[in-house]
Amino acid sequence: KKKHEHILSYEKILCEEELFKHRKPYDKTVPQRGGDKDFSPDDSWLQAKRLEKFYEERKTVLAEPRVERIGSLVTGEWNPDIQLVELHKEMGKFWSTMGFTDKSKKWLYPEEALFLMETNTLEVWYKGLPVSIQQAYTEFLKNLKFEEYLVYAHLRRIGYVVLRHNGRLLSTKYERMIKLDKHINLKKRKMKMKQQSVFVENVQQDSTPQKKVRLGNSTDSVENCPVEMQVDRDTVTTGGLSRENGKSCSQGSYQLSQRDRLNKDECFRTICKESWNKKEGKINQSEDIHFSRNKQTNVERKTDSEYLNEGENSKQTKCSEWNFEDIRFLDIGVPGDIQLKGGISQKYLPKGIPPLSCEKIDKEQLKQKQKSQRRKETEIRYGQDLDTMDLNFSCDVSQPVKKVSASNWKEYKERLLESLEHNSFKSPVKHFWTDGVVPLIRPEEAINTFSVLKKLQVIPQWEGNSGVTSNTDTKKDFPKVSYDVYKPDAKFRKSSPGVPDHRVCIVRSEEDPPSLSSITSLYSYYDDEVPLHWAVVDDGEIAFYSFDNVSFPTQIFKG
Amino acid sequence: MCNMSATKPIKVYLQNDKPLIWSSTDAVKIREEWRIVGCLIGCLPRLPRQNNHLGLPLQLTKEEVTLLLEKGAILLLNDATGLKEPSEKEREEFIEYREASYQSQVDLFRAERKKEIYQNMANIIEGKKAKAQKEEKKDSSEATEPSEKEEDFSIDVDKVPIPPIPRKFSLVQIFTESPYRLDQEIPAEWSHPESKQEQLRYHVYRDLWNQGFFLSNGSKFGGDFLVYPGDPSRYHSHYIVICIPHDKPMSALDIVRMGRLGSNVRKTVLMCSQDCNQRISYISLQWSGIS
Repeated sequence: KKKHEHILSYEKILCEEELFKHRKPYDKTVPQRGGDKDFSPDDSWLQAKRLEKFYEERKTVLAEPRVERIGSLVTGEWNPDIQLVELHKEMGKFWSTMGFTDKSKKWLYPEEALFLMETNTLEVWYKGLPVSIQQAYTEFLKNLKFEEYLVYAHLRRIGYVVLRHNGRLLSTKYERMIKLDKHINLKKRKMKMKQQSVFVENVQQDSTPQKKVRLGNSTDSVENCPVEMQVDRDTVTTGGLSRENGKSCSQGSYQLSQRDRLNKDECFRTICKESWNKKEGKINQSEDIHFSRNKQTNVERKTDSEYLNEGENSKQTKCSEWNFEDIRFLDIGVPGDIQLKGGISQKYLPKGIPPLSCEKIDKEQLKQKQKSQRRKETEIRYGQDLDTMDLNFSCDVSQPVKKVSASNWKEYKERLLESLEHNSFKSPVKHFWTDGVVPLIRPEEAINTFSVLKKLQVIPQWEGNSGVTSNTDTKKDFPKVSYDVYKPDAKFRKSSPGVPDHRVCIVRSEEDPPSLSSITSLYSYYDDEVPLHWAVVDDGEIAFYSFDNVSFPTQIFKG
Repeated sequence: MCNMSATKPIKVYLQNDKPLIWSSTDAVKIREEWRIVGCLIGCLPRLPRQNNHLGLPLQLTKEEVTLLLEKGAILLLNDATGLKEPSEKEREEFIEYREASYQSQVDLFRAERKKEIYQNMANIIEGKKAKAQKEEKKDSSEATEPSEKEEDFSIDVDKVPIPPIPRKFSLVQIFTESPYRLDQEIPAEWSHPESKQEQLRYHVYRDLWNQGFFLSNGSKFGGDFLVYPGDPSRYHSHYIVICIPHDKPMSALDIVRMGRLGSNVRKTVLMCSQDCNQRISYISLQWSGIS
């Protein structure tokens, strides 16, 4: 042993000869786990020998030191203020899945650094001395739960790419399907990222001050952020109008600015009110507004002339070229033969149709044709012609309802109630309803088989994804998702990892399992189909569990 | 059974509230001499990227630590001192150490290279001869017999110049256990069995350990502990221990649940509780039928 001033305890360090001896790992075999075991000790020599061999192997394997050439080690410096490791230079394959860049410096998160140290890739220095793994276990895991590191290392060892959880996905399912999430102007979205939901704050709260260094990608948590999207002007998105209205807007990915949203509502209403001016026979042009999301934020209601003149809407205004006064339609209600004045002008007919020359249309023939068509349809549908079917009720339904007359409103109501009671349909099975036990289904509820069968479901099925969004009351209950896990892939990019393959929550075995409300709120919050796992850590042992929604199908018989 | 070696107590460091053993000799000792299993949680230096066999540190459970403290086998130390900024002298010492290590490695590598050359001397000489013959043929000068050119192909191993290995090939050790001396070792406070359930668990653990069994974590089988007749690597566990408070009412469903649990994995479920006289009572559960 050396004197007191020395910082290194040399009995714990390898001397040069030993270092040299370990320069090449000559044995990469790992003692196998399990294997055939004996039932119970029987003091036999064989058992003792096996045990001895096991102990020897274990001793050798555990005592092996970590020896590496300086050239193949990456070095970094630990910065305790921000709890990150600054890389001096990157080397090797780990940079594609770990670390981030900020202010032209490369940084590693503490769990990443500790894992790299354990896999003999990185040497971390602190003020002139290298950090040992023992010290790193204390230092680096100050802001991280011990269990979180264990799960991180466990998954990383078997090859998964494990990143800190980054909030729920911004893009909707449809957008991912058409790969639109990759094309969105990410820069604009990043600039607008200010608001974050309550739960996401909860998730990210343990990070260092430099966390925002981690540049956003398409999975960043943005809930109500306004985004000005650069969408092609000609696209008309009337289809989406009916869905995105008010509240539900906040869930979709394209967040419109406040002004945009108001205009959308307005335009939607005007389209609904789209009136066909019967007198004039033409569409009221001023209300024919096709909404288009364009850069101008103030798309207000414009006057007719403006729309006619507006270049970008010229596509839509073309349809008002028709002068409906000139177009005549057949009036089949009029008795007798129909005469067409002047025939149909050729310009109104689609291409390829020969000019109609007939001036007389045989109404009877038309009627017959339609009748036979209808008959055919009913035969197909019901198996027989409607006329020949017996559609009578099995009892007499044609009871005249006595007319109620009264002198004032109040009296009328009273008399109406009375008459309803008297004139109620005399059902032949009325006695069913008088007893304590009544039939399950009323005649008016028998709309279709499904509604009948639904009545049989006494315990209603809980819809897991029924869109129940948790409110701030259940904030404490909301389990924290720690990691997004991705399968190892050569195409993985740190800047846009995409949809994770798994998400992991970490709990200790002493804690209670998650309650149903927290599970439901979690599943509805993350409305994509990424499986969510719970890693239960029990003094070093890790087990993964997940909750899956199981639904039983209702059998509906055709009828 | 257990060799109560009182030479040097085993050091267990309490880091982030987890008791960890970092020394490999201690990890071996604690299993072979004290029958404590623990759980390895680090990457194995030999093969870091696999989960079948992990390496140091060895994490101990709370019951294990309490028991070892009672027996006086371990020293529980606090490791929350934080990274200290080293003095100038200490930095210099480390640089010197690295430099000295590098220089001796140069010598070692050189010696090894010489050994290699010596071992392959025959091949080297042959190769040189062949090369010389090729050159002769290229020259196409007067045909001289190879025997004339009796050049001395032998190599004097000591005179071969071997350059020193570059620095980047020199070997360093990544320290698993901290190599730095601690000025003082602060013993940590340990308040383990606090709640009633914890106390019960600990008493059951201690009682079973005293009977000579190996005990390990039982969460894989839905119990508190697993009891092995010998080292867990060589034997399967016989019992699943479930600690139940003595006066807790149990329903028949609970019994059936535990019975099923045990019979499915061919182990006996041991229901353990502690009565008012501080004695541990065991009830075993085995599935049987009436036949």
